[in-house]
Amino acid sequence: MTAKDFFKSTAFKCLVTLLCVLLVSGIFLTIMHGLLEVTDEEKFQRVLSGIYGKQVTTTEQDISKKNTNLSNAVINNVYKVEDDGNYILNVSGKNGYGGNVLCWVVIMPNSDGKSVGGVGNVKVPIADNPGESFLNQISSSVFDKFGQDFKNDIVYEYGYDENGSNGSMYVNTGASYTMRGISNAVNGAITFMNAFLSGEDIKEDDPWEDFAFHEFINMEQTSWTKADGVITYTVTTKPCAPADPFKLEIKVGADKTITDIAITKNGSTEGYETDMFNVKSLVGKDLAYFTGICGDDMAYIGDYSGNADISTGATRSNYLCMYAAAFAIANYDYISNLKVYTEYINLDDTTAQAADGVVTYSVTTKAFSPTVSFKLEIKVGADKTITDIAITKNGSTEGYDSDMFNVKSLVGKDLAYFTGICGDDMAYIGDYSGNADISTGATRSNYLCMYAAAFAIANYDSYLAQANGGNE
Amino acid sequence: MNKYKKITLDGLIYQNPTFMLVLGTCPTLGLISSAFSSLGMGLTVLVILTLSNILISLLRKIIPNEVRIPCYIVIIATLVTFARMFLEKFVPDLYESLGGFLALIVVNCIILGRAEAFANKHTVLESTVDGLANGLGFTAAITVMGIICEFFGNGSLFGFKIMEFKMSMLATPAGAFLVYGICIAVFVYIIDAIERAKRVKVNKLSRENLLKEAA
Repeated sequence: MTAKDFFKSTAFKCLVTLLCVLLVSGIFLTIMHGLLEVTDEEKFQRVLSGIYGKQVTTTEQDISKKNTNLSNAVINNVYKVEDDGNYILNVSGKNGYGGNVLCWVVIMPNSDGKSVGGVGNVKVPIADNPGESFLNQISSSVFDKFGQDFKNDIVYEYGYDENGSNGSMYVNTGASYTMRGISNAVNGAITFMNAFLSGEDIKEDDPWEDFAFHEFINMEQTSWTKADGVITYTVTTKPCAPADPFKLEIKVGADKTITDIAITKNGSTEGYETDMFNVKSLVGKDLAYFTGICGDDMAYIGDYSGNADISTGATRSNYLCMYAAAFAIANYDYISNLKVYTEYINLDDTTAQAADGVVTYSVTTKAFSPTVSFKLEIKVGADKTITDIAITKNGSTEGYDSDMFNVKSLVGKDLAYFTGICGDDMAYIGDYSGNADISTGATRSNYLCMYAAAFAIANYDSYLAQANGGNE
Repeated sequence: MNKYKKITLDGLIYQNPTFMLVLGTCPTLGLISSAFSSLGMGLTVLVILTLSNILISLLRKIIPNEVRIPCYIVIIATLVTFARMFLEKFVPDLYESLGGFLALIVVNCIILGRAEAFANKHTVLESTVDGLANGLGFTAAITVMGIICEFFGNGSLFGFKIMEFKMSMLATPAGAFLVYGICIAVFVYIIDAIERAKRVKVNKLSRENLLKEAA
């Protein structure tokens, strides 16, 4: 085909037509965008008029010195409404359906102006949340409930009602993931404003705050086992870019030194693995060795040129391994005393005394609806079996206590008996129909007693050590 | 019959896009829980449909047959984007209530269907009438269903509370399916009854004429 033929062909005509249509459309939309663009100021005024129904005066607050990136939300802007003294916050609630959900939240301060007294209107503009495709399923009456639900500095969290049970009305809106983002935004706004009004820093709950040196540790993917005074860790670190996360097996002995260490997944940048130190050289080292190199806070300082132990050419990889080892040693005592199987145990109302190798517990369980809490006296002998057990307060639903197993039948049983029925994690699986030991017609009551017994056996070493003054 | 009257009646009744052709089902089921949203969606589709019919009819001799569908899509998408900008600027409440369904008008079968089946074969005036008729047919259908769903599902009409009694299921997409099905059945039954009555009348006249001729 010659060039002349091409220009006369249908293909060329099609190409030109399509390009022309696209060009005209593009020019038209560009002009219209210029004419019809809704500015941020206009959006803000619409939100204000949607809330107040009239023009109000606002003053933007300086939040540059505050922590605005919370665990559940990001605070973008805070305005004080001069007409009524309330605050209106532009907040991005985390974990919506399509990412963050941008919300406007009105916060009403207490009369002293030092803390949050209530939640006012909540507005979630669809135009600002293109990822939340089911947003229009949420009726305005649901947003009104945030104000009614405000209690103890929080509105109900996603998925939970006021009793802490599953089944919040937030879930039943037809856009449950979006509602999760919105309730996160409202709770984030409350947390931020409490700190802002009181002039204090935001204190957020860190579930791992009791662990030392966990900044570079992926706690969700870190586990440990205890046996004969040795704690064996499986530690997954966080990355220290460009080094990826490491996975290590670390053993710490009773003298709080590394007794064994091995890398099971090397996160070194390709080609740098060979530059790392030999991780086995850490065997025998104590915490002082690591803090001597990295400082008391084990913070990454970047320049370790003065220390040949870490600066081998793969400094970040070496640092992550050292950090994991320091984590393992520093948390030895804490983990030694850490209780297991505590999900259904009320630790505040549980005591233990040790004498002659026998630990005597007074255990109070938590409620397991419809069963309320049980109280039991449990004795565990040196061979880690139940030597005696008795119910001092029966939490069975009325009429069901007679359906329970005889709790004395647990005497002589070890931990393996209970994990054999309920699994290694002692989780309640609901259907125990295949096991006559627990499924007697009052399964939940039996389960709570078994759980308490498993708790008593599994924590025998910890309580005995505490009574003997060890690991403190 | 006057051709414009036929085009109008087809769009409104005999080929009603919602009840007879079952087109544009996605926004219908998604929005009929609110009469206001339904009416808003209907009017938006009416405007876009009419404009797209006019433009496509105007360009029908210029656009090559091989690329007509991509061109139609670009034209419709441009009109929908313009409608979104316009509503966001001037009718923000309606823009909020239509949500993601507004952007979905681009793939609404009624608009592309009328472009392909009618506008690219007819004059600008005929296409305009067709767009208006089909748009009105869609608007009427979706609004009637919106009124039914909102009244029985929420006990309100266009946002105004009418009664306390409500069957909440009807305000959900599942309830919308139910109402949609019942409305189609009733509509088809009425059209069928009218057609039957017309046929009976025609047959009767024919018979009388034959008898007269025989006599």
